[in-house]
Amino acid sequence: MKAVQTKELIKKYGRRTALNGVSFSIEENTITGLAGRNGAGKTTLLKILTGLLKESDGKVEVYGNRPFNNLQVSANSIYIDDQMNFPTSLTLKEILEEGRRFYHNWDHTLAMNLFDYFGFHPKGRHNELSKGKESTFNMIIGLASRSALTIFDEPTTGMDAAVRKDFYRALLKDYLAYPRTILLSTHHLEEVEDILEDILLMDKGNLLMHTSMEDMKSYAVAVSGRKEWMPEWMEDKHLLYKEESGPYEQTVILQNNFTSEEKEELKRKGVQLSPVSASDAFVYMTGEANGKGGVDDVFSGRIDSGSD
Amino acid sequence: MGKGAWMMYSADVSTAGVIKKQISYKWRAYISVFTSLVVIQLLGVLFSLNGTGMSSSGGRSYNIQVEYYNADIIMIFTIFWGFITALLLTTKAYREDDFAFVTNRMSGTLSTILYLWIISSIAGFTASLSGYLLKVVVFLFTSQEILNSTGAGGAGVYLMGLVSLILTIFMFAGFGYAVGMIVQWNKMFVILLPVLVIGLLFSLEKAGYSLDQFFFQFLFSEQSFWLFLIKSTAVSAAAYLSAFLISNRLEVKQ
Repeated sequence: MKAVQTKELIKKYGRRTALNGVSFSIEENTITGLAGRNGAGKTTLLKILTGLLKESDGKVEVYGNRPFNNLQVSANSIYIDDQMNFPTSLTLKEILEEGRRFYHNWDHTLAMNLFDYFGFHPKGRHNELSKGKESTFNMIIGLASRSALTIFDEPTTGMDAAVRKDFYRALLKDYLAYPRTILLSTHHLEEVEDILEDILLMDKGNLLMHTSMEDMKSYAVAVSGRKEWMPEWMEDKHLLYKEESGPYEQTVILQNNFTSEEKEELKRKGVQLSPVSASDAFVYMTGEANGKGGVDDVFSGRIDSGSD
Repeated sequence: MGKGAWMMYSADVSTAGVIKKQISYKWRAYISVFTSLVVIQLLGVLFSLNGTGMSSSGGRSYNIQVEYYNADIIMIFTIFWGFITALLLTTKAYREDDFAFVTNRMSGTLSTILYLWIISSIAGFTASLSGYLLKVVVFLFTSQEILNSTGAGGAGVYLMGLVSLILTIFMFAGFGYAVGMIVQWNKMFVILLPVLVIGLLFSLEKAGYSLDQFFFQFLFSEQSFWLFLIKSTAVSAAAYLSAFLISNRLEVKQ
């Protein structure tokens, strides 16, 4: 059974389309990253998977059930973000107790140990926590619930560097000890690329790619050298980004699907090939490579919205 | 659980089991509703101390003054509390509290309705007792003689009164719950709903049907306890059912 399966999944908010026909499936017991820029549709997708939002069209299944309004899915999944609401009348410790009552896999020892480690006060209140502390607390609930489908939506918002590191380490350790399906959305790919097995890349409501992290790491390549050195066949390659440095030099980021002959030719001509990290590739892929070059263009006057 | 036998997914989730957990969760999470209940009933006692009526008669050398006290205000306040409390439970913050843990719309709504029934019963019980508190306060703090004027007495009558009161509180909680859900469904109803209700009342009045006949007489002039029981249950069921149907359309987080 697939943990998650969607087919032509569409979500509209009024006239705005947030998800534009997304199809993918996730195997059980894998840890998958979901990357995309702000407004790419990550949160919408994740909330549909946990049944918090209703899809507008298409098919979505979590362990074979349609998630919206489904008790089975709710009992076997958890959605963690930085906007979780807990009753203000309950203390932090009482909230953990509630989690223990509701989630059948809940590990209370783990919850309490993490609670102590991160220095929470048992009598503290959720609405009095700082942003980073709140994210840390929510993360504890997400880990301790051991839900079959555990979803973290931007879990590290506001956490300091040390806590972020601790979180990823705890996540990985607990995942290895108790394998489950984990989905983690982030726009800091560089922080999580070592723990992810697969990656979903989204842009503007579309799924750009779904691949293993290994493939993502070698997905793009940077080609740099003098313009006249570039062979003509490079025009046919999938261009992700282009940067000119001075009148003669340029660097282009291309999809890494060169044949060995092509690589030979480039080397002969003195063109340099250098690897592009997964997170850089992600930035190039979701940036506006064709047309708008970057925020520089706003200041150089190349982008003009036409208003005064 | 050993690693080998580690089962993440459980298909064994019963709606009844989840509802039970949710009721006890709501009991702890919404504990503040009881604070407001105590405050409002104490206020009710305070306002009741004024008495609801007075008659005095006297002669050459004496003067008899009779003050009437009853717990009507306390009960009306409690009914109002039921309405407001249920209305509050439909607001976004409370509904998100609902969805903090395992739930779906049906279990969430059903557990809230059962929860409202429980707190209505408690509120009805304390309201009926606050009548006695009123007597004690009057006895202690005024120099009046207490004359009990209960026409019919006995445990049976008390019980019928108590059940009727609880049903009434629960019914108004149902109104609050339905109104709240309608407003959550579309914010326009904050304005539209009062306009509709008042407009409807006016046009009914013009056509010769007053609210008095339509609603209060239908329910509260009912002499038979059993008929009242049936009528108020039917009205409550209609209110809760409409709330339930609307809540099924609401998305939780946007």
